[in-house]
Amino acid sequence: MNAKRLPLIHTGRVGVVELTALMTVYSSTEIFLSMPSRIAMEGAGFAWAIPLVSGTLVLIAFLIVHMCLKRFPGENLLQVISRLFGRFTALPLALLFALLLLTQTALVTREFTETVVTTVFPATPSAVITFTFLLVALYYAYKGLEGLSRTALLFSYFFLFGLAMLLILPLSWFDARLLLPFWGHGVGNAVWFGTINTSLYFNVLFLSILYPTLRDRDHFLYVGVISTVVTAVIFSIVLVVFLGTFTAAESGNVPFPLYQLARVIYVGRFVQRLEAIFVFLWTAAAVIKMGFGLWMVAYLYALGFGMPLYRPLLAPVTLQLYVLSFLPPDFPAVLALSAAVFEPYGWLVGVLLPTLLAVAAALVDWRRKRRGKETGAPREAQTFRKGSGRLRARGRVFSRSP
Amino acid sequence: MDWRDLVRLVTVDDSIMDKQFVLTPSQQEKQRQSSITGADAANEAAIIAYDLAGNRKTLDRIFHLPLNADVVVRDFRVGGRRPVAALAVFVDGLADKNIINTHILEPLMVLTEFENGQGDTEWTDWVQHALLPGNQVMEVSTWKDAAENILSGSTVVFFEGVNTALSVETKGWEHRSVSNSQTEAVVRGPHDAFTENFRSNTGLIRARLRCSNLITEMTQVGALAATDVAVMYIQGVVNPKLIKEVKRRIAAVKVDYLADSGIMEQFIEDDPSGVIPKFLSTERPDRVAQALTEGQFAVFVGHSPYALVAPVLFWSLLQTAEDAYLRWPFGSFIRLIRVTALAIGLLLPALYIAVTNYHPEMIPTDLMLAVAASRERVPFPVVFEVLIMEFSLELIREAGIRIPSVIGPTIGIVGALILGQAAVAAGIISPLLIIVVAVTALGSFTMPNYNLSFTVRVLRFGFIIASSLLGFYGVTLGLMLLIMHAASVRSFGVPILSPIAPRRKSSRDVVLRGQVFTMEDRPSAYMPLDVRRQAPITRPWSAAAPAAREKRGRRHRRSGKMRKRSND
Repeated sequence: MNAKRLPLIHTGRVGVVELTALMTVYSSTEIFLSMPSRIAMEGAGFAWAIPLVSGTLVLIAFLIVHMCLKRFPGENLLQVISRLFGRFTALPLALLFALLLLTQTALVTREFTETVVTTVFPATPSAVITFTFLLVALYYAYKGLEGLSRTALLFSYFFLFGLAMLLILPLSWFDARLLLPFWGHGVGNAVWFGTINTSLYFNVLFLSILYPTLRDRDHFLYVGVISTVVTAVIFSIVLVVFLGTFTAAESGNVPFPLYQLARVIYVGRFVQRLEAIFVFLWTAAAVIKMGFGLWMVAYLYALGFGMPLYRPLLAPVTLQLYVLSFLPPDFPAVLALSAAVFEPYGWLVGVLLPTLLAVAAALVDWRRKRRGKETGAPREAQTFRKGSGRLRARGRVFSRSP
Repeated sequence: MDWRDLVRLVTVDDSIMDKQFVLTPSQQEKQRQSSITGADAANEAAIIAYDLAGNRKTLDRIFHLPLNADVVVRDFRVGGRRPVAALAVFVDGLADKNIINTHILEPLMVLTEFENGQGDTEWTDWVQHALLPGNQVMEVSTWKDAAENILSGSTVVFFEGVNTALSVETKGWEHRSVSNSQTEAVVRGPHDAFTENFRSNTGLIRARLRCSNLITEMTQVGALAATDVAVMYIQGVVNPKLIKEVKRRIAAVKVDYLADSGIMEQFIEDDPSGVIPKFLSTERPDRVAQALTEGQFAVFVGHSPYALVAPVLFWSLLQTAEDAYLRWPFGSFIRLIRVTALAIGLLLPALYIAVTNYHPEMIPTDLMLAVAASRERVPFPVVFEVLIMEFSLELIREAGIRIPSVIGPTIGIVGALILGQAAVAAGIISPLLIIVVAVTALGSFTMPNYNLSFTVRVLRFGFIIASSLLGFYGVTLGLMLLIMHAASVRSFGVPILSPIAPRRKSSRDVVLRGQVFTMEDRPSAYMPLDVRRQAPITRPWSAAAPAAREKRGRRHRRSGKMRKRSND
């Protein structure tokens, strides 16, 4: 028997291109943190293949989720779970996802704060930087998914251009021989780290929650595939340039990889010491990442408890982020926490769990349909928008058991 | 001279001292005012009487005659074998006296022959349709309508024994003739601009858009003094929901007097607290005409020479009419200049502060030494210098607007040269800062939209403060806040960053200018009823056409919208 599903919180509609940009910017922002150093240390000369392995696995997971959610048009994963397995199964799942994102966003906040303090404002207290970051992130989250996605789309043009400049300008230091040995620490090593580095991608989780917000749901596949592929390619290219500029042996010791890459830029007397300009790039990317993370935490919390609104939760969640971000005593502790906890195990909640839930929901739905019980649609007739906004009512025929 | 005059010479004559003036009315004055207001309201609802003497008394009451010298009441007799008493009422200064003399008084007094025994209705019909040669003659039956017509410049004629009046269009007050645009000058393109005459303005649009579907819906706003408000749009192009919404918002404006389109803009815009304009206010008829053909509407208010166009996109605020009149590479070039000017006007002082205070390593060593040398004598921090100069520039700008034109150039020389040069010579300001501030001012003057230039001027100070506190990081946070604010602003439901964010189908005319013969569709952000605005690749005779047609065909095949074509 179908339980009552979770009510959908009004978030407005987002376009396909906007959501793709948001997913891509969110995931790609990791390149401004310690990710390149860590992966370079793990894979040596073959480290550039690790994001491609991760991306492939995430793509497979996404395709599985997409095929499963196609059976439930207009519903997100938590709504499906609550309807099929009961309201009280969705709540702990929502809280688990929210907890993961809360801690991960707090960690990212601290990492970015330490980056800005170390590279730009060594005399400024970290609390000031964190406070200003979170204040802007709060405004972003307050403006909602529509504002976030549009800002991400607008920023993505500058992001790609800036990243291209950041990768092209240091090419005077690039030496392809530094990428050797080609296989690095081995293919097996790359596949293993590629598997656990799927923690970098939250596309599967996000898209399984944001599915009903798409203006044109036929393009859901496009969003997932493009954002995952583009992110993986960006990671890979950044690693190639990073490894070719700094040797694999030393790259693991670089705390702020892209900042160091910007520092080595020297194209004549006037094009040098441009690392300050790239503050624009990673600060902007960090604001979007933190804003979206904050929004998602509040949204999941509200969705789990069946609240009609999520905005009142933004301020308390921001305060939680502020406090959590200062729990690690220093920057090496942050890096250690990230390497020891989130990267090895984050993929379990961020990638594997949504996939398993989607498969389980699809299986249960399939079995029920086989038995002829009413399933596949909520009790009321479904109406949802498609394409240019024309309303279509799709009443389902409820078949009874023979 | 007697002893009383002598006494007045040496004493204060307090007989000349008036009772002390107070603004708040006494109880008696309040009662008198409420009785007058009540009587006015009653009068306005009343029907015009048959009795001319009674009508005359009502006129005296409504217009406070004979105290009010503007309103003229002309008694006369309508000619014929049995003359009929009548009176004409008009406002001196609003009505054209020549029209009154030749189109009302002369025909009725001199050129009229009536047949007696006609009923009142036939008689007024006869007068209206056969005797009064005015181009617009309307019958009014209530004092409200009569008063409105008199106050709008028409002449209302009352007749003895008839309980209706005839309103003849006689508007003809003095107004400025069509001249060059004051704030939106162009080199290539029309130079005419709107004036303070309402009908001249709508006429300028009509002269350009000779379209039978061009609709002008008129209403009046203002309880104390009515102001004409017109909404112009092209039926069949504009989305009807837009027109319904703008009419709803205008109808909700309940004020005593609406002075200008700027006030109307603040009443009906989406978010009154934002810094980015949600209307395009322009004094150019060609811009309004172009906007109407794209699916927008225009609002004209009373005697305001600025029309309001909506919905508007942020990119439109950076465009001028000249961009379209030039060939596309040059139109794109000047648009790029303007976009760069926007960034300079907004960010240059902030970046200067950030670089000198927080990121001096960015500057090449020679330049850094030059900057340091120029600042050596300056006793103030960079932020203070910048704020002083920006404030001085704002003072010069405001003074330049209000100063009499006779001494304007002189003050310009004083402000620009003497103050700037004197400040540098005194060591208060560094010379490099003069250049920074001057370039910033030039950047903000480049803004084609007056409202947008205010946005730049105000936000610049915010960025200066942000950069003084947190350098590039602060500037970035400020920019991100501004971008998010812009991403969430709507103009009549249309996100102003369309068609970039959200992504919408559009011709190549957003930031850069594309080839005009490829702009086949209207901007989809406005959701027009008719999306297509020109034939596909309207250059069939040109060598450029086959290549462009092929490219368009590839694009349509990719999007799955290939149309069947007949063999050429």
